[in-house]
Amino acid sequence: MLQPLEPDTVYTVGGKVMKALQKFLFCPSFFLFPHFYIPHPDQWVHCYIAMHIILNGEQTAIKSQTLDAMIAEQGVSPDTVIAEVNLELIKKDDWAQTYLAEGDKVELLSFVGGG
Amino acid sequence: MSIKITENTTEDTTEDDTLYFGDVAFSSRLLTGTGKFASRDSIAPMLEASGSEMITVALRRIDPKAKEKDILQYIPKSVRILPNTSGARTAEEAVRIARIARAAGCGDFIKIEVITDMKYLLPDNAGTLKATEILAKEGFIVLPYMMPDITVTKQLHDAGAAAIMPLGSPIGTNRGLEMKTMIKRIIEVSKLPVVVDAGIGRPSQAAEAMEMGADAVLVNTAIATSHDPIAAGQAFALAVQAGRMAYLAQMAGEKTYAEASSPLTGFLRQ
Repeated sequence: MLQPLEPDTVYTVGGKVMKALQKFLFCPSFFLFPHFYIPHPDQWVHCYIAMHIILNGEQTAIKSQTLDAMIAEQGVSPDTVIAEVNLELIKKDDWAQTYLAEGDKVELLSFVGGG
Repeated sequence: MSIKITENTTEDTTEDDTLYFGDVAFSSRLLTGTGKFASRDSIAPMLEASGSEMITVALRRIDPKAKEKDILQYIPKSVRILPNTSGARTAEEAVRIARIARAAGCGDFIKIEVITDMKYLLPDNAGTLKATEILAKEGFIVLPYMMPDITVTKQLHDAGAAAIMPLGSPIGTNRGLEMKTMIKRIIEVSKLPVVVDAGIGRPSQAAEAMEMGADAVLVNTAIATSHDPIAAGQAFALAVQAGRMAYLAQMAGEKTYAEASSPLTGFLRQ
């Protein structure tokens, strides 16, 4: 049985939750208790744009679609960040036009002290 | 305490004692590093006190939780950045780091470090050579950190390196010139500048390397972890200059028996 959607949970578009939803769309209880199957509109944004990327080697759920939004979402100061998407270095000017896709390997790097 | 050192000394001994990596000229023969400083604010005054014109940095993944400023903001614009490839375990990883560092605006210099031995941090010469070959072809000014070896020194020449950087002793150990004999041989055969990198723990050890004929030394830990990095930076600068002057002055060799410095005639006892 489907669990109700949790307010703080990130649901993926192609993920299991949405697929299960489609399957149950035409069952009788859908019409009796639609709120049980359809997330509140406040949560729709989570449902439709969230995805997983490999950020610095770790699988990370993000809400952003572009690189610059993702960097802001991570709370990283953009001034000193070097960003690499799928082993390709992305210039700061191009961050806003760089759309991320499910499974992209993103590296956020910076210079640190070293000998 | 402020002794002005950088300008006068070298000019007095020779007309032109400029150090070249590739076609880039340096008047200071002390290279420094940014690692291990208790306060990063002492990096800039240390650079000024030591006169060092090139300093190393490393490239790492960002930790969003640690809200630290980027290290480049602590380095004056007049000082050249030497990114290292620390963390690289293979030539490919080193090449990748080098390309990122250059694309990020750090210039053409790169210090190659390819290391798999985590206990002594001794470099993998084969990987270092391979990375040097690739990066030199791409126009980098390659400074390879290497285990002192004559054959590899020659191979690095052919691979297009801009310098040879044999280690004195393992990184961060302050043990000085454990590799002294091999470094001497490298200095003998090398047509490229020889930079003794790693393990130099005291100014006297830096001076010794320079007296032997090394073209420069790279010092990080000894300066950064001293109680007063600014004074330590200056002490190393003085030692490097003294060692260089002694080398250029061509000091006389050792003798087994005493040789009087005063005349052996006209003694008062006769």
